[in-house]
Amino acid sequence: MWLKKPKNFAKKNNRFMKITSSYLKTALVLIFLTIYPFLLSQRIAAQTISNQIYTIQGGDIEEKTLTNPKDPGNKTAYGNDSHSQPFSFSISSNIIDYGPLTPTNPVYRTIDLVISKGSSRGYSVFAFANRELSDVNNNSIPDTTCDNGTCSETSSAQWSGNLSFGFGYRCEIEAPPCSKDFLIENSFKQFANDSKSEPFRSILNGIDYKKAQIKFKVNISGTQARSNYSNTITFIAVPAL
Amino acid sequence: MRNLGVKILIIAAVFTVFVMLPKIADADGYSLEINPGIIKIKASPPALVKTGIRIKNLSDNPIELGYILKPFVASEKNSGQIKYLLYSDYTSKNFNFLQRIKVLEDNQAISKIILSPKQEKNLTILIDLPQEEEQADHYFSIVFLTQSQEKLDSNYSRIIEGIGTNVLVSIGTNQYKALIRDFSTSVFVSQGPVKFNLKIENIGKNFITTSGYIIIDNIFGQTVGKIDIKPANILGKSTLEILKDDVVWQEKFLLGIYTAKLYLNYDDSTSLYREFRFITIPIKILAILTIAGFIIIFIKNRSKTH
Repeated sequence: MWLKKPKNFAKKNNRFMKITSSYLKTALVLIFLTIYPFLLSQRIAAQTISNQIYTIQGGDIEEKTLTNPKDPGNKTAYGNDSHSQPFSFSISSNIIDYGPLTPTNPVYRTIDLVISKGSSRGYSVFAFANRELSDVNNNSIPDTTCDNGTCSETSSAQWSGNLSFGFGYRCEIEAPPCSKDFLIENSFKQFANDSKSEPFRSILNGIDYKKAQIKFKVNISGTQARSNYSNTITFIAVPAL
Repeated sequence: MRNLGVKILIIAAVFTVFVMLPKIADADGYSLEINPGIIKIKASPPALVKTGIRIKNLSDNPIELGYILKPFVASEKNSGQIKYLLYSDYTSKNFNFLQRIKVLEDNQAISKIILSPKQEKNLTILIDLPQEEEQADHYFSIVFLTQSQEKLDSNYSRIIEGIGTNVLVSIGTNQYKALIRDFSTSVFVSQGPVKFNLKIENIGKNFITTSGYIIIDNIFGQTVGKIDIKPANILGKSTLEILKDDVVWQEKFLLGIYTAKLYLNYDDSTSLYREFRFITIPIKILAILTIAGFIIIFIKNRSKTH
């Protein structure tokens, strides 16, 4: 008895199937209409990138020629990693506004760095400042030496006291790709200073896709001249060998 | 029934909107993509070397880029990372070589490029090597740098993003020689996965590209595992210590004596071989089984006495 279906079950079921199928069709058409222009725009973008130098092979473009200008027939073969996945690097902001600085009130700002290593074995991110935070009259906020006066562009130290002044950074993730230098909370470093010919320092080294947060800190003393201070920080990402 | 259809339609529409809505990108950020990440060139002068680089602006803002050429050496950490030379440490050899490099767009030498949002450009790297070019290796990065001139009437740091391709150039007759400095793991292993130490030294003057695999045989000579070693570039006169996490045998249950055999090739012709044995004893499992055995014997003895 419990298996017995109502008389009009098949009829109802058919009607349900029809309704469902018509809604499904409508939904599918809607999805297709929404996706199609997007796909089309991607296709157009891909077609505009060709020129006479390159051979396009499914998105991987890599042409190598090696010719002797005096003897074009004498070619030496050499090879590259073909069909490689691209390497990418993103920074969340192009400027960091510290706002008005007041003595012994440290200002913190953060930016995100996102690296995708592509086909390479890993990556490094180098960072350097063009100079100390300086104003038009060449007054400057010195790079921090942290609480105990020992941190530099090569070594980190704790910087939590409001009576330690300067400008510095830390990497906020307590794991690779951030260096072990930042395992201790509130440990900071200086940026390598290009104007003092300090070598670019790698601040991140990783082997896979990673997002890291860089925290900037500025703290000025009461004797710091009131002015607008600025500098330029460069982050360079390159694949590992 | 009609309600069900309406629900399906709403779900489909919501799904479509969520999937297809463009992601809100930070209008102030930069995002760049470059391909390839490494370019390897072997040339005999005189030669005109041409190779392609594709650079793409992934952000929603136009970007102006300049470029610099930065010579590098292998980092002392032997990790496959690079270390840039200071400008004051450039030799005349560095200066002369860098002068021979040009970046071309549509066959015209350029110093800057402008990329619209999502636009990509194909650039050509041209290296003109004259007959008298010294036989040596040159390693440098082509770094594309954003050219922001943004200012604020406040205290600020302007951020510049750079993305680079590493170029390895070997000029003239190449002499390759590499050695396996270390291929090992712990003498006693209690459980998998097994991580191997692998250190390769390139004692030649020219860069090499290594690849290979490790075969694991059990005590009966049967192959029970294979680990592929990712290709790696080792600069002339430098050492590469491949990270332990990159050379891992994922087997978890291990018992007995195993032989690990390393087959390493470099520059498609020369091969290196090294093998060693390691003993595995699943101490934890043995301890659990022993304790379980004692408990069973204890319970049996107790039941007999009662």
